[in-house]
Amino acid sequence: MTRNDRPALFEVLLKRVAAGCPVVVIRGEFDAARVDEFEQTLAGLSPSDRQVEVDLTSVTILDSAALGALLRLKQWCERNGAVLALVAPQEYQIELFTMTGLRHLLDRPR
Amino acid sequence: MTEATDHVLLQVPPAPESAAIVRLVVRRLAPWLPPTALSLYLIALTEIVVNAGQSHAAAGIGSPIEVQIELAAGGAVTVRDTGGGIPPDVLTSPRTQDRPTGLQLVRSLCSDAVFSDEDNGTSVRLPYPGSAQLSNGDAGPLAP
Repeated sequence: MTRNDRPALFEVLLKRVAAGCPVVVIRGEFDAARVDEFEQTLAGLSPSDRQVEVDLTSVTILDSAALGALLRLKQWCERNGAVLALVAPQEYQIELFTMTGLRHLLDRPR
Repeated sequence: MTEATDHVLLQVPPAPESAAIVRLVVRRLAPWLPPTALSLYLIALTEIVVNAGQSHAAAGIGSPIEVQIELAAGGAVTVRDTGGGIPPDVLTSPRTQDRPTGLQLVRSLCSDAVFSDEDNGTSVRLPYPGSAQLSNGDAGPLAP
């Protein structure tokens, strides 16, 4: 198996810039096999965070388990008085969120 | 992996990680699909492979899941497991936890998916997007 034949890598990072909101950057295929890694990364969030961004720009797959994880993050934000912003969704993601009734997750917070 | 003239047959472990292997092979074998259609198709396929793995786990079965990938654009991918099958109420039940279950998502993404109970498990045939228009003789670029 060559390097190019390997399954796409998954990466999730929690970035913080000084005095800014935390940004969760996800790259690759976000599916049921990766939910634990995603949620472990979220342990770095603080209840004092007022906004959490999730950058979906480089996500190539989002399955129902991943949607569930994003919903749980949304609920965590609501419980802590924070807002969740999903950033830069791709066309397939917009279709997916729309047909699953989760389009509201893509609304930019005011 | 075995390769026949018109399809490739994969046998993958009944584990969530197997979905990535199946996606990789389908991406290579169905390059004609437009990016958005391919992404949504692979999400539906992921749900089926993951569900098949869960079915094996629930039945205590360690045998592989069989994935048949047809090479023609008018074809399909068929996933066969030897688990306990899919209860009918799972396919028709309302959304839970504010989100669709995996198989309900398959229904939304691919309305012409065919679920079949077989003697020792379940098969799910997932036609490629646009297959209805192509199945009358048009073949994909990899067709023999």
